[in-house]
Amino acid sequence: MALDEIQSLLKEFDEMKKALEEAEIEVKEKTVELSRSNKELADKVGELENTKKAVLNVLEDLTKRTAELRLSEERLNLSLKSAEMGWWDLDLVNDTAKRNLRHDEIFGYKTLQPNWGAKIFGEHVVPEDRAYATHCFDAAFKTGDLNMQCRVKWPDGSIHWIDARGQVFYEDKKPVRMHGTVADITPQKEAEGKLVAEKESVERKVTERTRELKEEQARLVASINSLDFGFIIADASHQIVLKNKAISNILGISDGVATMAEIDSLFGKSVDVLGKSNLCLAENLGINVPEVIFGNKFLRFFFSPIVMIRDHKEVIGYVFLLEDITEAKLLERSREEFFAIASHEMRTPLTAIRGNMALIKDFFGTELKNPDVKEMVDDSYKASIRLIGIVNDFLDTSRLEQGKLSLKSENINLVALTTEVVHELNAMAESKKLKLNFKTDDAIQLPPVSADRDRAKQVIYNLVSNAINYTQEGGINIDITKEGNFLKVSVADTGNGISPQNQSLLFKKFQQAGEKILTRDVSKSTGLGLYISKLLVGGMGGKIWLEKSELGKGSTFAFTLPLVS
Amino acid sequence: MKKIFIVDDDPAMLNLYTRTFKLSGHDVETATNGQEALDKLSASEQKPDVILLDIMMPKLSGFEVLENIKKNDSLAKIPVIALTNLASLRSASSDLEKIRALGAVDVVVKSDTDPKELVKRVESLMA
Repeated sequence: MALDEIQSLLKEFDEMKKALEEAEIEVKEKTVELSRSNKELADKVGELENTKKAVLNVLEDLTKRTAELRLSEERLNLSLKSAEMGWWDLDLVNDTAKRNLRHDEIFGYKTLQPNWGAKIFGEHVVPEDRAYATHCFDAAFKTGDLNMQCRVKWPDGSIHWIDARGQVFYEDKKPVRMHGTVADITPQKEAEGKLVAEKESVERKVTERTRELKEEQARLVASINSLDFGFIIADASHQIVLKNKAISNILGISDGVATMAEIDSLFGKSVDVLGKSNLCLAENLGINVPEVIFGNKFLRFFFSPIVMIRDHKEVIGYVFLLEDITEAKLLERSREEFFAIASHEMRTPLTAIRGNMALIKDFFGTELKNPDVKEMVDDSYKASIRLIGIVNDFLDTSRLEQGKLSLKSENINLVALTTEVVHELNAMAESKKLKLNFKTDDAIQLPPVSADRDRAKQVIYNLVSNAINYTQEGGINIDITKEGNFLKVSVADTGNGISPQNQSLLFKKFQQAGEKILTRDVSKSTGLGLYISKLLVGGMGGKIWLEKSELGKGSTFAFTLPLVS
Repeated sequence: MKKIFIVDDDPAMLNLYTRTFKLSGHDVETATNGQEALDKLSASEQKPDVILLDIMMPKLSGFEVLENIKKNDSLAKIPVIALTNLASLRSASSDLEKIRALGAVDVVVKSDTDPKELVKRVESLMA
């Protein structure tokens, strides 16, 4: 090999080496560059990965949030639904609103309506509440919160209460959106209304009752103060709870008297006021003290227990009434005197008339040749007898009615007394050709009765003489029987009898007054006889009645008197 | 001839009874009040056989006259019939009892008794 060749080869080699070195440098450079690029790329990929990751994260987050949002919306709807509430979201700028079905149901629709907004809402509010609703909206725009309860009218015309709550959103301080809930609160309102009405009613009743009580109290106080008899309410320990002015006037005591013991001391031994009031309290009994002499006055006392209505046994005090009967006493005396005098004054001239008529009839019969004169004398004589009878009956009646006739309790043989009457009236019966039958069974000893002899005789006399008077033919049967603790006297006649409608008039005062309702001879009686007999028999503890009567067949009257016990 | 002494403050009644007894054939002396009756009875030579005495009279009542008659030995034995309108079936029998307790032999309720009946009762006392 030539040097040249070698040289060339070497040169070539060098060149090649150089080139190689250069290439190596370049490769190195390129490698560096590449590795740099590679790194950059790797960085970029990493970045991209990061970005992707971030994007993915964002996406994931978004999905999650969307799901959460849906969940929370579902939850919201669920909770709204469970609360029967509707929700709404009102765009204030365009006046449109999103809402759920329940919202529209609350306004009376079965389906979601195409349009809704503040204006449409306003049209549903009842006219009376519209100003209020507007006010609520204005307030909401200022404060940010809506809180409104008003009435809305449904398409079917019914009125419902709603409760709307909401929150306002602003842009540039201007309200642009509002959302919230709405609920139908009609049942609550109705319940509330009822409650209010009930409360009002209770309050009204309380007011009324209070007023009534006050009125009652005022009436009570005014009443007892207006009474002219003394009035005291005392408790069970004889402390005076209430007394009127009259009590001070009658007894001449000061207003300071506070206990019944002080009242008691006024009467000394004449009447035991505390004793009577204790009896009243203990026995739950009204006690009357008819006559108490106090100085120059006549008084009447009455004690009446105050019993709790709930528990009939609890006596919480008593009412003490005190009446000044002085005037009444004086009047009674003058009335008694009046009747005594009247009896004498009227009967004396009548007796003179009767006596003179009888005298003319008995001693001057020969002078009475003129039948007219004879009849006039006869009539005058009969009339005078009748007039005396009337005066007697009047006096009897007034005495009996006033309770002035004191009836004695005597042991009386009623058979003997009746026999006496029969003997006295026999002539009268014979003059009418009537038989007076009094059958007594001697085998049966009738026990004595307890009665006033004279009055019992008067009753028998009245029944038998009536029977004679009202019987034209036949006779009168008198019978006495023992019935339980009574003896019964029955007087049966064969007279005209008494029609049922007239039977109810028997034993009444002036039963014959007015018309001749009884088919009896009015000229023979005052119509007071049976009335007087009834008062007398009643006063002696017996009864008198019409046992039976048949028109055309006769009547049976009967009365009882109690046996001596 | 029997003598009847009649005391009554009412002139019509006094007249009636005077006439009744005179027509029945008796002698009659009268007084119109209690005091006059006592005076006349005390002064009388020929004492009456029966005294008819009205009970209800003003001033000196029949009760008092009766008491005085019974205290006077010369009069005490003369039967006295009390005349009254107070005591009857219809008024307080305490009056009746009082009259009888004072010594009257009979009580005649004037308004219920015809003159002839009265004469009968008086004559029965003098028989």
